[in-house]
Amino acid sequence: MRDDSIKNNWDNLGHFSGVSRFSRMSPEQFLKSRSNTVYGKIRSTIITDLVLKSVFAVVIVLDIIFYSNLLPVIVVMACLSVLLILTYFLEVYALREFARISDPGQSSRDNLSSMLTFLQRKSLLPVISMAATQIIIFISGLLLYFYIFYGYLKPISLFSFFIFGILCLIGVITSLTINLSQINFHKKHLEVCLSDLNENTLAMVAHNIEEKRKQDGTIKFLLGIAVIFGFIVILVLLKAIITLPG
Amino acid sequence: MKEKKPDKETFISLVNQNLGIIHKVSLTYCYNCTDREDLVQEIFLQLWRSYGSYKGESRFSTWLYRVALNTAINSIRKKKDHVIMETLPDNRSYEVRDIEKEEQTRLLFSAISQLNKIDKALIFLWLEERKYDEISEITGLSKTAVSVRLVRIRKKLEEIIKSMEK
Repeated sequence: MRDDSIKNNWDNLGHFSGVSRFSRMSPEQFLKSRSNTVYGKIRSTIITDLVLKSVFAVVIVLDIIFYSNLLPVIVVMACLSVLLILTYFLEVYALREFARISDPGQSSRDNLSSMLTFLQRKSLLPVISMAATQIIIFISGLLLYFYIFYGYLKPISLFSFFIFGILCLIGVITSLTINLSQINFHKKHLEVCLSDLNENTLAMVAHNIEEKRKQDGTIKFLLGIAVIFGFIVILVLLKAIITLPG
Repeated sequence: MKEKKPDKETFISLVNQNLGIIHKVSLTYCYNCTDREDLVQEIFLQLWRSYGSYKGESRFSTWLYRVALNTAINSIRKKKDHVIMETLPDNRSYEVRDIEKEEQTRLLFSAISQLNKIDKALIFLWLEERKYDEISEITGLSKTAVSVRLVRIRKKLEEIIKSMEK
């Protein structure tokens, strides 16, 4: 098939019948539709977590109301609230930042490389933040469960506490693993596309990421704070539950 | 600085004038009706999302090519190795259906389906008779790289088509 013949065949496609006019649907309707792009997938993951966090913010408020006479629970809930607010804003920031840099109106090279750079440099913190939701769900949910079924904070044995702790840890690790593997999948997809575009581009992006990574002290600092907060919450809860009278 | 609120009416009118581009992109990247419809809807969504940042520095059609192709490249779908020939749209605009032409068009799409996503974008723009300058603006490749890549892709396409015709 010659070039002119190929182009003739392409022109044959001309106008399609049955093509619905865009005006039939308002843009707002499209915004509600499910997206299969890298941006869409990451957006829906973060939004799902934000919804979950919002639901458990209500659970925290309920716990504070139900256990208003128990100072250790109030302290635990205050820690959880700080953790929730920090991680909530971090995820909102990541979402807005990713929406900005993944603007599809850029050239393909800029679009792919900016998304890859973001995922390489800035995706770890939101992933940890999403895993922290498991701690919030577990602790606030457990306290609400005790109140609903027993009407008070039921002291539990050390063994039961370890079992609950292990379940919580499994939740955190599962969330981390799932989200990290999803991010890695997206990174591989972008790397393949960049490599198909131009091998030099991928090498250049990798070099830039490495350079910027050295300057990413903020990420390490925030990461440290998040981990310390998580530990504090667990330790305070441990102390509160074990030392409370039956 | 507050971002300007996009004008919905102008946007709809501009997109409607360029619907052909969106549908051709969906034909290039998807080989069954459901995937095509999903991709078209996805492109509409991304166009609206990005419209606020369109400053008119390039032609509307250039910007639309960028958004449509970037959306197709970034879409994550289950891989289908071969084009299902029957799923190409029935073009009712033909006065008389030219069986041979249709067969050639199916062959062309089948060959394009074997290219990677970036090569599909490049050959798509070439088939759309975009100038090298514009292809370079859309993909971010240099003009020289575009020209070299297109020669290579066309050669590859010809080989695929030849092997399919045998």
